[in-house]
Amino acid sequence: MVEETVTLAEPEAPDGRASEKDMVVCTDVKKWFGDFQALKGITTVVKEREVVVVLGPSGSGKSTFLRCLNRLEEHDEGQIIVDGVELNNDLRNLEKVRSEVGIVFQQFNLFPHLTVRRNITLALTHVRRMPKTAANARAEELLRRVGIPEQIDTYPAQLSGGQQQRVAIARALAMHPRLMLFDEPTSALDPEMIKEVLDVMRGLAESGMTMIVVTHEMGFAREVADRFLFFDGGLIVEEGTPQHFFENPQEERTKLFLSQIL
Amino acid sequence: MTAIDVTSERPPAPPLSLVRARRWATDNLFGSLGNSALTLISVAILAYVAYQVLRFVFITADWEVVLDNRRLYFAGRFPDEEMWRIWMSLWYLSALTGASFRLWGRLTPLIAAASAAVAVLLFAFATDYAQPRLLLALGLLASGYLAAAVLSRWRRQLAGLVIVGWLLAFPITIVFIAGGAAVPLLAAAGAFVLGSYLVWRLTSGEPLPRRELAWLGALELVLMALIFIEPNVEGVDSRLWSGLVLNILIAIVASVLSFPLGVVLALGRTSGLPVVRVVCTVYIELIRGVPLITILFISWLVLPDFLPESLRDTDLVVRIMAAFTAFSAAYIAEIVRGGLQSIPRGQREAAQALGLGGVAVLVFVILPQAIRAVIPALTGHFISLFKDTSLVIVVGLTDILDVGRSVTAQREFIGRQKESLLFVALVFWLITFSISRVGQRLERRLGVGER
Repeated sequence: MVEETVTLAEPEAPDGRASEKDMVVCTDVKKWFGDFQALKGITTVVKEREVVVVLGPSGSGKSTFLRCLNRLEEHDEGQIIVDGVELNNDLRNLEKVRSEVGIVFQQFNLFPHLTVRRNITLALTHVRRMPKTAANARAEELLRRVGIPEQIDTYPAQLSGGQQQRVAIARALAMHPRLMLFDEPTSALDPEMIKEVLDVMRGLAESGMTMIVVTHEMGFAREVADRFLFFDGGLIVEEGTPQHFFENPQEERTKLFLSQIL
Repeated sequence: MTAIDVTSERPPAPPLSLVRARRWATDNLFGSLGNSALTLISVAILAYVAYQVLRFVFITADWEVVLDNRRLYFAGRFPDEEMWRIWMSLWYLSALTGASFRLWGRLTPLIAAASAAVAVLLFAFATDYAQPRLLLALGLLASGYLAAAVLSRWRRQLAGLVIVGWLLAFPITIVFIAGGAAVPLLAAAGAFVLGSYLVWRLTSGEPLPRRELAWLGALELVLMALIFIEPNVEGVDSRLWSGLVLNILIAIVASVLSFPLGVVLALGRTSGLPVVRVVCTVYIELIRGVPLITILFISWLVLPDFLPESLRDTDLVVRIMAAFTAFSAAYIAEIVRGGLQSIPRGQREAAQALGLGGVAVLVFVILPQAIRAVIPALTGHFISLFKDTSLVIVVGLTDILDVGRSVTAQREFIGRQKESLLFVALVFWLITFSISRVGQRLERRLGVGER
């Protein structure tokens, strides 16, 4: 298990906080599903090596916002720039961004017909064109880092939820992403498995990965986040440091939400 | 209540099998008065049926009609001096089967028994010279197995060879039997299959060993050359294809061709492109709305009037094979579409998020899961497709059922329809049962990572 310290440090990653470089720049992003407007003008900047936690009641647009950042959803208006590349209908941009942005889903979405090894190496061999031996070595290394090297040749269905989610994180990390998105990564887990996943994410944050996390795990959020974004009704209602949120929230809706989940 | 002592008590000895059998019988067969009555009635009915069947098979029936005409059931009017073509195909397939068993499977008793039964039927009933050929084929099965065992050091290369062998099995078999004008067409098919395999291997990120690449490339060149120079391979006129050989050929051609076509149609029907979607939907609904017999009649009588001049005298068997393929593809498309719909949206999203392109998402993530999910339905479809081949009677072709009906017109066998028809039914059953077992096996093998 992951009781021993999980070290996820990339060799080249310096142990510092947010740099001055912009990783994500969103300007007045709007998104409709039919007549329903899910995002009503999101403007925010995420710096390199920053860890941003997105909070908000369900239906507030936080998942949609996350999914717009690697274009699983297309935004209708506004501008999204990820690591200097604008997201638009240009397929080359899309390919570049998708392989640089990793996402971890609530439902894991591992490929059930492939072994853990193949889940991790599939994109390496078919997108990065990496030789199979190198890809295998990478899979082994990543599984060590998330604490389950012995599961490399099992199928997802043979793993616990927590292990599956850790494989999903390893799969996303395999592509050497510059930005990691987490869409409620522990919401589908039994309570005793939440910690092992959060430990991996904590290690990742400490290694300097830029992360945007949608979560309701307030203890974890408070510990790792540089900044909170509070979403409601498709807008960022309030943003600030964890300290600001817990000690001095300004907006009524923020207060109400925090009082409900804490 | 006394507390259960878990420490001192030894686990109870398993009951004697006789006791267990009695227990099972009282539990399941004689549980109540009604249950006992049902059991007795069923046993009585079963005993009566068994008695009648056994009496017919061993006493009343005269199986001479089947024995004397075994060659006709098997190959109908297929010329004697051309039978070697069928044997060649069977030998080729049995060698491949043997090697495949060694490489990927184990010879389970059931499969061994089933294939032995089919083989014995095919061979023993087919010609007067069957025994040596039967031995040869079984020998090849064994030698394929042994060769694979001996060469297991080159297991990977051997596996590649066997896979290519299976990919080419279809064109090679047809060339053996049809020969002649079919060569360029089949060489094209082979070149296409091998070419796709090469492209896939070359782009899969795992480069082919140079030697393998060299000989596969050479094979590809030979196939491409065959498309243009037409070696005058003599074949057997398709009008002479008949008996069980005809059923099998139609079924194999239709299955092999309609499967990829069906998958493409299913993808088309679920595609985001309106034109593609409409075309595929219209095709599927049109074909599904018409009885197979009607389609056969159309391709027999009507189709030639709509074909361009050069294709007008395409022979009947080919047109019928096309009809079966078109028909089967529509059904496969709907089966596969069901499978596609069963795949959660998250699978596609996860694959896209990793940067996989549209084709890669389909080939590596969506289709393997979708097809695995519908293997039972596909098995059922191929079974009914095989049985449907006996409908070719309506367009004047002579399949095994037609043989079974016409042999009783011979003077010495008048009145022997029962034996003849029962034998035909048995042959159909043996083959469809084998398909069903293979389907179940595939299901189990591919079900490893079942969610």
